[in-house]
Amino acid sequence: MEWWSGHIVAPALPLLGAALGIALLWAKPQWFKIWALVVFALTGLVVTVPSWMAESPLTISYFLRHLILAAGFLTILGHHPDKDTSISLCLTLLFAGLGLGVLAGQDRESSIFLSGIFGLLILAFMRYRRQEWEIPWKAISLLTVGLFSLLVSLTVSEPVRIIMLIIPLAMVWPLLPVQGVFVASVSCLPGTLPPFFAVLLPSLGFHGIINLLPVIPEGVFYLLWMIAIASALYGSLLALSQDSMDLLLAYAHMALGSIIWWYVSVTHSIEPGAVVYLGGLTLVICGLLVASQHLRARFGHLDLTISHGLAHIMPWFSMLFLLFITAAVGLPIFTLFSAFMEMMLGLSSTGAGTLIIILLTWLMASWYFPRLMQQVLFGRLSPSFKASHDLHLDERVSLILLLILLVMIGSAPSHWFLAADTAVATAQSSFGILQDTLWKR
Amino acid sequence: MMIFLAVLVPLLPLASGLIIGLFGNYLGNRSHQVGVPALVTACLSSLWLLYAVSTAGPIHIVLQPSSGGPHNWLAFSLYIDRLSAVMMVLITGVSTIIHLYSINYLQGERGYARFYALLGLMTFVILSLVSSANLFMLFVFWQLLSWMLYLLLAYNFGHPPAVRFAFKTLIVHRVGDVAFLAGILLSYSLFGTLEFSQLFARAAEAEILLPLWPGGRPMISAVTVITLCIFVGAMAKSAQFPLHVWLPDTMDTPTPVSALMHAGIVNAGGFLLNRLAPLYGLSPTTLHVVFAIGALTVVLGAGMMLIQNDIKKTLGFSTMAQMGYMVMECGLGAFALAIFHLIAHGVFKATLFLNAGHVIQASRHEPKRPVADHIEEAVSFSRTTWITGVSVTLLLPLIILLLAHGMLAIPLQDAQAAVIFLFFAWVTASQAMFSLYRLNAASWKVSGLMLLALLLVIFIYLWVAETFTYFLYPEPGVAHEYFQVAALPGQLFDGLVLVIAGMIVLGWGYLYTNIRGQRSLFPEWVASLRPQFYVLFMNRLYADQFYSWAGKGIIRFAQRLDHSLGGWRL
Repeated sequence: MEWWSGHIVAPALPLLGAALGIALLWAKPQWFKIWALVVFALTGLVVTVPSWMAESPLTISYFLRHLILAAGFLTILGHHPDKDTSISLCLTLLFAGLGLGVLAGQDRESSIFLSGIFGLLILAFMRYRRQEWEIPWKAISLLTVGLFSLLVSLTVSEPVRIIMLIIPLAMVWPLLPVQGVFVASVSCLPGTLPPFFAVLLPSLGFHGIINLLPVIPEGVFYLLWMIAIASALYGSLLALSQDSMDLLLAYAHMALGSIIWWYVSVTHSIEPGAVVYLGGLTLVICGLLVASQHLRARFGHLDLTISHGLAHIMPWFSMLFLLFITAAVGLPIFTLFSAFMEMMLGLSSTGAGTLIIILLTWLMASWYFPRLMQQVLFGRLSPSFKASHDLHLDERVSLILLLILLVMIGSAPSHWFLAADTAVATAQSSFGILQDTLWKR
Repeated sequence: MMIFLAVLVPLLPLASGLIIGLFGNYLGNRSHQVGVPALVTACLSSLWLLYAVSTAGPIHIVLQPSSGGPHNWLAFSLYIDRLSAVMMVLITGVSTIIHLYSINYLQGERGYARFYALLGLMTFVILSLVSSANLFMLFVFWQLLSWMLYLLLAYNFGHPPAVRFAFKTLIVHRVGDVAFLAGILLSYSLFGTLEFSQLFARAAEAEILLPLWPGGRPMISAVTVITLCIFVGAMAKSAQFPLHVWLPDTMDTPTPVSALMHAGIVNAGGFLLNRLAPLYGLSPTTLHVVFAIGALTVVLGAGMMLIQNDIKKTLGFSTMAQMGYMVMECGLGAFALAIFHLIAHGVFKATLFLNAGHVIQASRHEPKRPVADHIEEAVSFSRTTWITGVSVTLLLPLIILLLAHGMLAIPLQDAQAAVIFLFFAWVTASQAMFSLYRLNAASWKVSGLMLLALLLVIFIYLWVAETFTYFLYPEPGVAHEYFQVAALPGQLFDGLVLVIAGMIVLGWGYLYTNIRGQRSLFPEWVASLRPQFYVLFMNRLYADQFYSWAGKGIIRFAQRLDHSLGGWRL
């Protein structure tokens, strides 16, 4: 029952929901939104209830499934219908279904579902390509390479297979030099897709790495370590130089996410701290991207080279945005802080040089995130903004729930982490079986 | 009862901050009706707590126990000893005064409720910081303090300079936070705990050496590295050179915020050094570095203070110099004296800032303000006053040297401490003499005041401050041990005293010749130094320009990287 619901029904429900939505509600975006919410809620129940009844141990993929579903639900809840609503909701449901398929499937099935995501992404970029935007075209090229890698991985044996699998994983959980897919996904697509991708894509990459961990050779770990360090610096620098909020968030995600890559390549294992960190990071960026969508819906593209002073007219938005920035710079009481501390304090030893770079990446976040906040909220209010209004109730609720999630994940009792520790050993399962890592939180 | 009080003191400002924050729209200009009673109660409770802790010993309250195993760092507990209790009284006292002062000062402001909410939360954060029982909890509140300060400084968020300087403050503080974090990571990886008592015990057990370079040699004590990293955190909070740049620029905030910052928040560095005194007491190298940084900050802060023409900026640089003194005292092992200093400084600086607010308000209504009293400065030269000043300021260095060489037996509890205390008493007294002389040179009253000031300063330092030292560190030999570890080599100490004595003599000489219009005693190049120093200090040693240049350089580099990647950038 549990296997059936988690592996078949959960991925199928969003796909079915998308099909029904296209057939019946395409012209009614408001109703489509409600329908999508219902589908996400139902899928959540399908994932949760059987496991709960069976009292089975919690696993990382179980956590990631909930993370994706929660992000999808809250992203849609906070979305204000516009001309792209139907297509973005439809794509969100399709990507959610395929994503759940990746998490539920085994070796080959996961690769096939991931290929489906890549294919759908290519179609989405084709649909939303703009002449002035080079990014989608580059992303399409990279996605083609990713698809090719995935297909090759199905036919070759190790160690080529491992490399072929790591390439697409580094595209969704962004690493140099293939970060373009992720950057384009969270900056070029409309509606609910960017915030949803901020959670979905890294989660899939993370899940893929968990399964690869036992068979990655030492040399590849070393290579990943170097790339992760370079990505952290590159992402931080690029985040600093952006005048577009979405691009800034994409590079910030890359920089801070590279810390997990680095951590995994150093420890050769997935510790609970890394899982919680991933959850925290993806939710923070998701929340900020949702906020970005709200701003775009009201004011269009906000140029970050000037101050906009929105705190004068949008107190609710300002308060929530401030809290997200507080979480993003890694301050207590939010998840990112506790998870980062757990990861760093859990390290037995690391080189001083590496530690400095990681701490520098952490420090840079305190530069570009508060600067982003200042440019958006502080300063003098532009006269053209005066007629705008604050967040609607649904927009407010979605951001508040995301914040609550951020606190809940991060402030879990310490014995949960301890229990997780004891369970992590089982992550060293054989690659062929692709067994879920036990994660008894 | 004690446990109840210990929890109540930080909880009251927290509750006040949350209530005002959540119901600010409803409370509006009545927000102080929630904040003031909460803070007054917290202040009275902390006084009671101080009494209880002094008589019954420290309290340790476990809020969230460590789960043991690999995550034993994740624990929240309160440890309130005499040091924490004294700090709690100071913080709640200053915060109460600021709450009361702001009722009228900020009445009618749009962000009245927000201000009171932030003030309550800020007070909670500082109180929790000073009552932390482990480094992890202390670091949690240390970081929150940086953030809360940023939000308070950006109170006038529509005013671009206020926002710009708040951001600058945040960046400097985060640099300190990250260095602090590095210290925490290192101490946990080497000693396996962040609980103060265990950490101190394990660090004292055996000296661990770390290679300074990957090659293996030279080696450096792990405690030295840890304490230096943590000291960078303290430097940022206490505005020590070269991380001082944020403090003088934070004057665009409302005056009560300035008062809180200068009387409370900057003291965090001094508190941190005191709390970790047993760790610092294991590393003479760090203590010498602390002393050097403090001394440098004193000189530069005082120098920059002298050339300011803005009342709040003058006070800001004065705070920087005073914090330099405080850190210098820690570097000399006089940890308790530093706390005594920060309490005294907190009280007088809060008074000055709150009064400055009135002066600024008055000057807006009175075009003749500030009163042009410089005419009175051109006073006639008084030989009596001048001789009194010179001799009085030179009396103490003589006593210090005699005492340091065992030629003078003063019946104090600790001769080493007496030397340190006398040193500071002398520097303070010299400042008082110069100020008195400048205020009104030709008067018998001034001569009398100089003598009185000297006696007062000596009394305070030798008796009150020393008594305070043994109040904070009642265990026999503890304070003495710190002095011994921090002791500078004998010749260096003598040299320092002589150099400073020489500078003060030269100061009096310069004053003498300057007032009488005689410059013959000093060569021309000495006179030419003055404008050069003036320009240097006026430009704040070009430190701000340097940081600005470095920051813009990084952004330019990032933009160039972004641009140069062109088609490949993704």
